[in-house]
Amino acid sequence: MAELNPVLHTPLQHATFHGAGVVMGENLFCAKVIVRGNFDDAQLTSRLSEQAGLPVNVAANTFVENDSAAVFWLGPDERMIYSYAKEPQVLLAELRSVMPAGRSSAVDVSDYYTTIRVGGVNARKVLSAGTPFDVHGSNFPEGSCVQTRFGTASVMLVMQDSSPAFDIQVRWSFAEYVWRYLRRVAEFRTLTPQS
Amino acid sequence: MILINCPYCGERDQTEFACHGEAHIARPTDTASLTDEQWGDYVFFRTNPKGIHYERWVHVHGCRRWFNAVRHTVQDEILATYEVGAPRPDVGGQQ
Amino acid sequence: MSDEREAPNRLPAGGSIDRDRPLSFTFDGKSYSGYAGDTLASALLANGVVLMGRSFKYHRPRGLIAAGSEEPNALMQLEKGDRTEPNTRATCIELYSGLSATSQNRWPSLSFDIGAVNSLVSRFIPAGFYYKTFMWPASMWLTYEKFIRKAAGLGVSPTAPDPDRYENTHAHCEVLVVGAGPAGIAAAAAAAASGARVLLIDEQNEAGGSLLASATGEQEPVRAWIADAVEQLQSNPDVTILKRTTVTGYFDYNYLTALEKVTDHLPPGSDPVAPRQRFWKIRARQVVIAAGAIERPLVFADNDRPGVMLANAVNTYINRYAVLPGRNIVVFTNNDSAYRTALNAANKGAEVVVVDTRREVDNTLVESLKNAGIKHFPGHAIVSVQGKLAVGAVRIMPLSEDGKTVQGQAWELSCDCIANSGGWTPSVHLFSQSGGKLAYRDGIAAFVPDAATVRSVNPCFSAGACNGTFSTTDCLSEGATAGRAAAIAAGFPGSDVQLPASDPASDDRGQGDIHPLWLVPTVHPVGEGAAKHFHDFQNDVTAADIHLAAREGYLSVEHLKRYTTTGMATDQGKTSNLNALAIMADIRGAQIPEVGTTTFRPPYTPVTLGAIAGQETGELFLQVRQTPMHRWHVEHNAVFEDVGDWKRPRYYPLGVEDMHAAVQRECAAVRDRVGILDASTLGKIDIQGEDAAEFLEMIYTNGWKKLAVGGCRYGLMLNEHGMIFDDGVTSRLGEHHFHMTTTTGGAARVLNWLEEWLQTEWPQMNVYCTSVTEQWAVAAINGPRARELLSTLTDIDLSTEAFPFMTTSEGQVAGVPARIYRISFTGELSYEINVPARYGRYLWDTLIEAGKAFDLCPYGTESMHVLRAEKGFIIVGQDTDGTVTPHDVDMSWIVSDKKDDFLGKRSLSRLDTARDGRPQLVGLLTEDPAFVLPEGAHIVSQVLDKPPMPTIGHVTSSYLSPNLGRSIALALLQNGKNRKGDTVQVQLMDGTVINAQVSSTVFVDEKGERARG
Repeated sequence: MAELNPVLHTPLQHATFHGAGVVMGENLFCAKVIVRGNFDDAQLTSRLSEQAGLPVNVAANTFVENDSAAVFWLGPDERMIYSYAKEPQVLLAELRSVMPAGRSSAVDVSDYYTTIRVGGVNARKVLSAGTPFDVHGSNFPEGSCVQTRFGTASVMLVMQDSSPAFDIQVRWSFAEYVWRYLRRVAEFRTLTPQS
Repeated sequence: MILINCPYCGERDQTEFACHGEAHIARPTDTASLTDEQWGDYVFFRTNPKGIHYERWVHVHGCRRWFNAVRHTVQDEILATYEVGAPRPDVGGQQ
Repeated sequence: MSDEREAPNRLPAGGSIDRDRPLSFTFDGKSYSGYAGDTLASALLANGVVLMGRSFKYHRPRGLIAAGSEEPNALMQLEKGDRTEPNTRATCIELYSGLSATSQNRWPSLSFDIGAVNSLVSRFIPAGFYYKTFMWPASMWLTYEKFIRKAAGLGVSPTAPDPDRYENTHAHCEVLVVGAGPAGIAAAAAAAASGARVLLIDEQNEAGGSLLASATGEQEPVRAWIADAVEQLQSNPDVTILKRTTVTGYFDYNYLTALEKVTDHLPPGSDPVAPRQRFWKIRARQVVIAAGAIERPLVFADNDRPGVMLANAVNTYINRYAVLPGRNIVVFTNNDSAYRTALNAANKGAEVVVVDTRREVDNTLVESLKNAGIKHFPGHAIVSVQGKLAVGAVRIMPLSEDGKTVQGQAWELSCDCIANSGGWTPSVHLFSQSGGKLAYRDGIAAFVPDAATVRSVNPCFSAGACNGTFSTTDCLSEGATAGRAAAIAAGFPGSDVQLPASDPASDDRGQGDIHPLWLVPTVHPVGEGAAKHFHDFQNDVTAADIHLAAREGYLSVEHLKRYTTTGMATDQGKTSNLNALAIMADIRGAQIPEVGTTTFRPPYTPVTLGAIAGQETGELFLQVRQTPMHRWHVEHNAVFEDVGDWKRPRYYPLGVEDMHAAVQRECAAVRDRVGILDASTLGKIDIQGEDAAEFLEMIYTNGWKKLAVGGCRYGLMLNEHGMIFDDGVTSRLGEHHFHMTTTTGGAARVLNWLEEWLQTEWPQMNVYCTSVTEQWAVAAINGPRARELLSTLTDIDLSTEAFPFMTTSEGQVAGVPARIYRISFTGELSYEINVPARYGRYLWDTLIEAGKAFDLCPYGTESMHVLRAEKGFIIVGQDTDGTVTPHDVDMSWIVSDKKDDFLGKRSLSRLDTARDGRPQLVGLLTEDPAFVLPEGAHIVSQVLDKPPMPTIGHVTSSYLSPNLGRSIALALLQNGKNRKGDTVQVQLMDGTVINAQVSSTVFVDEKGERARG
């Protein structure tokens, strides 16, 4: 076999935007697994929480995060688990090992999604051009995550901090579309001469 | 553009949802024993009321859960939403 | 500029214009000068331009009547070339340097317009003229239409694409306040004080509303309070103020739309970044409507002569723009509000006469006229207007007691301006759009919102003039109350605001004791004599037209509207609707509320289509999906095809190759050597759970329980009608774990289908479906040398014994984790290599590099289609159309007869579905092997001289097959199964008929040995 040197690509790896009040770019690749099962089952939630290092029985539209992982609510029987330290196959295998076979599922979606960070004082205005969801702090405080629409793409919006900074999790194939959309509306907002 | 209260995610814009027609239509079991007419009734026939309508919706851009809604077809108002499998809610005698 | 002569009607001082910033502009090619702060209307008026347009139907000369967005006459063609915009209201265009406007609906010139001959023959173009004249014969309509369009057009549309950019965005607030006049500011202040998020929107470029028309010194305490309140609102981070913004529509669940004119006040294209306009989609918890009121004209003889204006508009031009519209002004009114105009105009040096249809007028007003030296004619009416292109004089006569006739001594008053007021019409448009009902209030002779009818899903309050409350003091307190109530209703504690003390001396008391006179009589009965009484200026509708409609039975207000076209122009009848229905009420002897109003529809003012589209144009018009290998395809000259939202390479032309040549080359490469296809777009669904096999048994027509782990199987999905809905290969990765593939375009539909059944019908099943389409990048290598190529990059044993056809294997390919499916859509030896998407581009590059030794050829979807058609593999959605069963496509072999049930099974035995002779999929071989049938061409049962001919089917797929060296086609043909070998006739668009032989659908390798090898 020929000499091999695998190279990793992400959909927006070269994309960055710096404008007055808006900074945007793609976050680093990380492992992501969707787990589904009966989250009323205390045994499942305790074993999964232990494995993830974070509580998985989070409230609707919220997430929890520490330096090495994050858990997002996706639905009553569904969570997304990020690991910032582990390889996707490792995370998947570990989570699967504590879940009841045949009555749950764990699926590697590390490549399925990428996330775009949108930060700066004008970030909310940029997001509001594409989403009907109200991203004002009173409706979308820190620790919130919602699945909604941006343009015509399905996305998950994550309120990272109130500086403000948001993450947009989007499917790989839609990433370029969402990025161009963000860039176009960011240009309207951030470069407008203040009058 | 109405607002819809997803039983799982809360109130969201209508553009996050899709409607899948009339709710509370159970798929017949033992389909082989049905007459063409009985099967046709299940496949083809739906009510089309002026007023209260029980509908199946899905939160496509959100949690991707199916749920049911009571919608007034004249006013285009959602009077209640509820989980699949729950009984039809009382909407205060509205007709 | 100081040495230039000042415009003739410009007052030497006052107004909110900036005299240090003169601006030059052109109208009909002639240069003029105005100031920053002017509108196009005020600048033209300042320059003495009275004639601004020709009317729609009769081409009558027209001038300004208003100063706001209700203006019906002064419609301009703004700018030239690709930025030209028709029907813009001169009153709404803020003047900028270099503005260029032209008048509309006139030829050859504004002052000499040939079309004005219509006015002479107006007796022959009455209401309903088009309906009556152009009805018969129907075949002539197309001819008539061209003529009518040409004659009736207003402005002209641009022909080039709009070079401007627009934005479209969402806003959310607890309290939306529409209007920044006294009521709106008070409402916003009260709501903001309680902590609510407030959005305050106003059409003008500054706050103040009706006060913008007040004279210096008038209502100073209120103006100071408003300035202060605005400053506080601006500094409040929870308040957003949008100026130059019009709320255009009020929809359900307090969803409102607004159009913000971001840079329209600047020279076109001068701001390189900001959008020209921004369209707002607003969701408000509560709405306070403080939209004000619109003055309506009196309907008197020849009341459309340029120089006839609304009284408050005259006031606005004097006070806000420092323009005196006339030197000799006749104020004609039926209410008190116009007296302010009279006094203001006199104060600025105009000769003023007041003609009031009322006999009794408030004594303080009479006194104030006397003190200002203004002549007063109570109980009189204007019976005629002299002058052709502008007002020259009027005749007035005393009115009879009942106001129906005039009698006695006529006076002629020379004048160059008539300031008239028929009273004020509250702007109930938004309230009405919200679903609330209107109530007629006799005391003000107008409809107002009925607060008891507010819809629960559209909670709103009306305050100020739009609620029939006209005094400034009352507007302030009503606004504050509404703002407070709205905040409380939105869940905030109520807060009070300190309002300015009322000043009875200068308070605007509105219209006072109005005496409606809906139609001002002349010496002739209406409709007789040469004079016309216009109520709808923009659509040229007169009182006589209403009488005609009534005579012909169009008594209902909705019929009246459509028959006469009153209220149907771009101004939506803002100044005309109430007058029209009041005149109809009078004819019917009915009360105005009995006649009712027509429906108020959005938009309130015209909305640019570009603003509605916003940023979603060009590359953002539709979402576009790309695979991890997309850039490689771009770099290698791929021609793309849209499949669903995906961009897929259709073919890769080399040099000057066209599609035909490229496809022939690519197909031959796959059959002779090896080709590579980006198959990443195929839908992929991960299915896990102990009931997964059971679930697939219900979803697919064939059996799944016995599929071994590591096995792949093709499946067809039917809907409950028994019709083919999607297809694909599903593989068993574990006892309770499947990997399903779907068509590229059907992925989302299939996942929804699976989830719907699981969530609504079979919740007891332990099955979880997760989309993994983008998780995997897929390179499909096809062709006799595929195994050799792949073996250079993997240690997986690729021998047929170890890795047979229709199985899957996991391992490393090119040093990255991969799953390979040995399945084939071309009929060739084929491996579909799946790697995590982050390695997709790397895998592809590595395969291309390794493939050089095998002359590997990248191929696109067009070649894929040809290759699969040679094998008779269907494409769902191309060879099927939702009316096709598995039996119809000769795939009965995949329909299990062992299973009790699966989705759609029962429908397959329905009478119609099971009958013989249905359209069935067949192959077609044309007599002329070089001729490629067009897809969609019909197979006919009888050949006639020309189309249409009776059809018995149609071609679904058709290609030139490079491997057979002839054309092949698939077709749905009635009773096709029994026609194999028959010759059928296929009709082309031009009526030519081609002979073709019905054949099997499989054209190459009927036994399927190549894929298994």
